[in-house]
Amino acid sequence: MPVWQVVMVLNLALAVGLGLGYAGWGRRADALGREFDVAQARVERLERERQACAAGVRAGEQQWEGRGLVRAVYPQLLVVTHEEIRGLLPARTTGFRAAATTLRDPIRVGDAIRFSLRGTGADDAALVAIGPW
Amino acid sequence: MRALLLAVLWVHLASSVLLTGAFFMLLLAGPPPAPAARRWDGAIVAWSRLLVLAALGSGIVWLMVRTAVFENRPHAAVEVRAIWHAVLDTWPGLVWLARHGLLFVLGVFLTIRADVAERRNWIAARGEALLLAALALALVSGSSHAAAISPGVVSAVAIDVTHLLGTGFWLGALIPLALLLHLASRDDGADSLPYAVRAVRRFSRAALITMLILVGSGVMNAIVQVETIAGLAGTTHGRLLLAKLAVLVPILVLAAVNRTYILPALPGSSDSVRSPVMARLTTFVGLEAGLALVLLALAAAMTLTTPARHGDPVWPLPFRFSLDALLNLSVTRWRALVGGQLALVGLAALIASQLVRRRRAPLLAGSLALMAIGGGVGLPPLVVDAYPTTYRRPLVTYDAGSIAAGMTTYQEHCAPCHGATGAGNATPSGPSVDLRGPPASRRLAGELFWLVTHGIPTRGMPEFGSRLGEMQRWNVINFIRALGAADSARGIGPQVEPDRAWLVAPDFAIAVGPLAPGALRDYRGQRMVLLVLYTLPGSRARLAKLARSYNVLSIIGVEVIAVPAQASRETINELGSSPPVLFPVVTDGNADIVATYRMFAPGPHAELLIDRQGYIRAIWREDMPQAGGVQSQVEKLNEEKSWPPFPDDHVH
Amino acid sequence: MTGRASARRVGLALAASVLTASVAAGHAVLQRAEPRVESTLKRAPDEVKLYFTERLEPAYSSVRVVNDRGVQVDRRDSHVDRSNPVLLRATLPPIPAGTYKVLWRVLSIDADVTEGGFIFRVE
Repeated sequence: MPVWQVVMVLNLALAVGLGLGYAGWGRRADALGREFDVAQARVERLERERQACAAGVRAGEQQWEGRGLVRAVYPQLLVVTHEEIRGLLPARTTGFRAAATTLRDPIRVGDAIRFSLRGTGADDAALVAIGPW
Repeated sequence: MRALLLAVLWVHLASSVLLTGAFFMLLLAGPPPAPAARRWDGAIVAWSRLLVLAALGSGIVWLMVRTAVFENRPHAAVEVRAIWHAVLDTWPGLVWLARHGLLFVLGVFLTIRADVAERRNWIAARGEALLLAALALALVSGSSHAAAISPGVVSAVAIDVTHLLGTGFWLGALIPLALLLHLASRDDGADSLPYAVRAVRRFSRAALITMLILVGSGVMNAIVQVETIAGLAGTTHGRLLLAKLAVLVPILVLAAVNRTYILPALPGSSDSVRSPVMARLTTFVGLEAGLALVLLALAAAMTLTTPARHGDPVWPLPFRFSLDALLNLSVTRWRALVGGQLALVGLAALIASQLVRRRRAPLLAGSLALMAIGGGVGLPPLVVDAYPTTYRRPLVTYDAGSIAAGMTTYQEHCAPCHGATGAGNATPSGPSVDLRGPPASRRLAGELFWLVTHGIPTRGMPEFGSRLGEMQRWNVINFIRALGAADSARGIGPQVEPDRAWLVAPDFAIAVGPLAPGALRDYRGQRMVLLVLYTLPGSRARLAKLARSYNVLSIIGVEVIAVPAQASRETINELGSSPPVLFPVVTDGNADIVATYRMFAPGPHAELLIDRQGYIRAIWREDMPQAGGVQSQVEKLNEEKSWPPFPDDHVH
Repeated sequence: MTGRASARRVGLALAASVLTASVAAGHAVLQRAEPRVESTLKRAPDEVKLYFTERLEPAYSSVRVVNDRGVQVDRRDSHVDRSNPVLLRATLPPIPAGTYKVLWRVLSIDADVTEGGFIFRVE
């Protein structure tokens, strides 16, 4: 075969090899990475639901744990500056609804607390347990 | 280990560059018409086979040495499993694999003896070899330092690839060119003399373009990696770069001599008479090629040293040039101006001497003399003392903890002579310097560090190198810079001056109770901060007002951070709950923050407005802000259209 | 001819006076750390985060925290953050008061290894 045809075939083989490699593995690796992130979020959500279920709540509700500093106390609302609550809220100051029974022990502004929230999402998460940090 | 790495890297880089240059030169010269030229073509291809072997061999040794470095044990160099892991699981390993795959294909391609009598076949064969070699060379930047820059990887790698290919096409082609000239200038090669002359002329044209591209990409690389004159003269990386420049100068001189004197004197293409000019050309090109190999060695060494922008320069000279020296006396200013004008006139005369036809020599001599006189007159006023630590970066960042610690050290060791406020005192050895303004404020931080460490014996300042640790001395320097800033900050009041941001807000840690602490730095680029230094009970009414208007301030982009003068476990409870105070209240490290910021705003209650870039823009000292006072200043800041760059973490 | 020659000469002179740099070295250097270098903390941190100047190679970058007797106290889960290739992090269990040393060894994408350490204290 004339040399120039050999060269053409060689370049073609290199290009096709590169393209196949990208199509076959490169794209799949990207897609796998994205699927992994989605699956991880899903697993965490199911974990929380399972923990909440073990504590005896309705189906579909999750349970979260958090730590923070109390900033204001009202009969049915507690304002807390908290760290990131994974799967629910970033670190910020939030007012949480509280059942009347939850706030039995006196809580003062400035206390450092650990708390548990229960609900289906950020809209209706309510405090169910409060303890010292 | 490092010497071995350097040697291996040099062999590998040189082989890759020579391979690219060899086939570039072959293609530039064109299909060989005469027997001597065909011998040259064959010799280059034969040498290229050896070069591929050298590149592959040195590449494998490089991989083995690197594996040992990655795993931190010399035995890993010969363990197959370790090498496998290094090649397949790291990005540099994959780049290595791609490059050596290409080199391997190139080697196999060259081994096959093909019939290249036909022009089309010859071009295809040499062109394919050039493509493979150039790709292998270009991929070097895939695991280079340009690839490690973030952000801006794509442009950095593109510049790097351009630089590598330029090197390959110019420096790599010099040896094959020298070989061709040598063959053509001998008796048995006279039939290829016109071919060689044509090749040299083509190369000369291509080399000019390639060299300009090389220089341009080199400048851009240097701007990114070296950044300053201090880095150039004070770090190993910078000094290697200077050595490269020193080697480049004779190469360029030789190239210039070739182009302007020797090339025009060559016999024309139709001539076939030998000429001694050819021999001289061959020698010069050979010299260029030898120097180019030295240059490549220096380049390889540069890749193994920390870049100047990351290093701490050690200034080698006892003096430096500084425009700040001009601010003192008008006499020095005039001298510098006159000297500058003379030098400019000399430069203009130099350029003119290149463009005129007659009287070139006297004009050239006159211009050089003028520039020398201008330099002699204008430069000495700019000379200031410099020390090895002049351009060092401080060990500690400019933050409240360092400034407060520096304050304590200063009051104990420095205040007796320099005064509690830094304003200077009368001491037994004469009045001491005012540390708040020039010249002390104009000195670089590294200079102050040297003076504090070694003292000024001639003026009676003792040395503190033996009494204070290095960290303590840098803390004092941070404090001195803060003193100067606070003195100048007396001009900042409750009104924001639009587009005038210069007072850097010292960083501090924001610890609210047991929550993970943040820092003032975290708000950069995102929110403004209203820093409120308060004491109860005087500040209670103001804090209540702030608590009520907090949501409005939040929406227009302000975070309020309250720092009480004293903190206790009751700090947050003390603030009361009606209205509830929901902004961050610092409960740890208050002493440092208050001590630092009281330098800018004394008094039991003070408020400072810090903009999104980290500069203090408004200060309320004795009078608390009126209703809506803070908001109106925040709106002024929101209306600014251009923002200053973020301040550096360290003082200068 | 002279015009072109002189132009070429000026071009060469200009080029000679300008820098050339080749592939310049880039080693990963610690830019900042949480907890801060040589800082004293009231409460033990949950994790150590180290920010570097270059992108890191996950396969050979690691950090560990040891106490003043040289015993490793972190959870041995040091990893390069997936979303930020210049961030190296490891989590810590609750640790008592004392002086701790953070030792890091990183490989950056340009195949250069750098290592270092710093201390922090917990009161």
